[in-house]
Amino acid sequence: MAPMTDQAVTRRARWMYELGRARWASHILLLVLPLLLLAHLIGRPAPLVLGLGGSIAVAGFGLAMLHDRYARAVRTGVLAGVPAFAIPLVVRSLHLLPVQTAVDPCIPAAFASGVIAGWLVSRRAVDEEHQRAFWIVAVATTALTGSLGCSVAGGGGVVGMIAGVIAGSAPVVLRAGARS
Amino acid sequence: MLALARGDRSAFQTVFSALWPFLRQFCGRVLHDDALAEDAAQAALMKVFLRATDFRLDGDVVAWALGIAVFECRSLRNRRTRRGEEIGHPALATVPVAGPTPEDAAIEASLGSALREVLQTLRPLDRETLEGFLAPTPAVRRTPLLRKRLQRALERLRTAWRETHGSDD
Repeated sequence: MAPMTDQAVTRRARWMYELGRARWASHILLLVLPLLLLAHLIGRPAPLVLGLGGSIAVAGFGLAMLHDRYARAVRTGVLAGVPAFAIPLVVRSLHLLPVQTAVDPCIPAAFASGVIAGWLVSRRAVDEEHQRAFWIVAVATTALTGSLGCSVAGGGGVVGMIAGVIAGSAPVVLRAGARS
Repeated sequence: MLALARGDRSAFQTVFSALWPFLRQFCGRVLHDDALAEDAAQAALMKVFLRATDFRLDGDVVAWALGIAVFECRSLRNRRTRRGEEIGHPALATVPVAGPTPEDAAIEASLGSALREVLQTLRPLDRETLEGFLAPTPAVRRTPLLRKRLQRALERLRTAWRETHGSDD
């Protein structure tokens, strides 16, 4: 190894640190990519899977590289979004709700799964030091993950799911705000 | 270190400033070779930062960094030893063997000195005959008379040598 100045060693050490961080952040893809593969296998439209899935993967990797708290938020968001992803699809494929109603049965299912996701994310956020940052990242990830499934009901499903996330988060966020 | 492991980049300079001189000093003490110690310290530092994200709350940063440094010192020293062995064998094989070895040259010089001493004890005629014969370009023609003189001079030289240095028997 050639002798280096302290500045060169600092630069190289910083580069190695970022490389190590990128390696660590790439673990988030082990969670996201199987979900995208599943979405593709159950017949979700490829542009949707590529668009939303690509956003989750890129944003998840970038945020995990930035700081551990964002990595935790992305993980929580993806896991909390799994019910929102799966429930509307299950409801539609198994015809669990009556179809003779004016509203697409998948919209209430998306809302309900959104409530569950919002509640899970918010419960997890109150344990964090930087609650707001954690909550924003986690909810955004949940919304993207859930949209992969909720979009089966069109835009209404997505809106229903997001409304559910907010509704599910509200009690926990308000209670945490009242405590502090 | 813990802050850096979590992704807090503002801790980088603090950790670097603490670890770099420490690792350099440690590797210098272990290896007793400035260049090798510098290499080992650099390699250890790079590994520490590459794996910084894996550092956990219950870890001891000094023990962790020293563990990596010890490994690097050992690896570099072993690599250098191996390189020395690898270079050694082919290098020896390429050494020219046409000339006399230092040992042969010393023996030859010692024998030459002893022979000159014995020559001084011979008669002048015998000495001149032998010197004329041993000269690179003999000045005289080799007549039967000269060959007879040479034979006698050699016999006397052998006798004088035996008297001075003893016989091989």
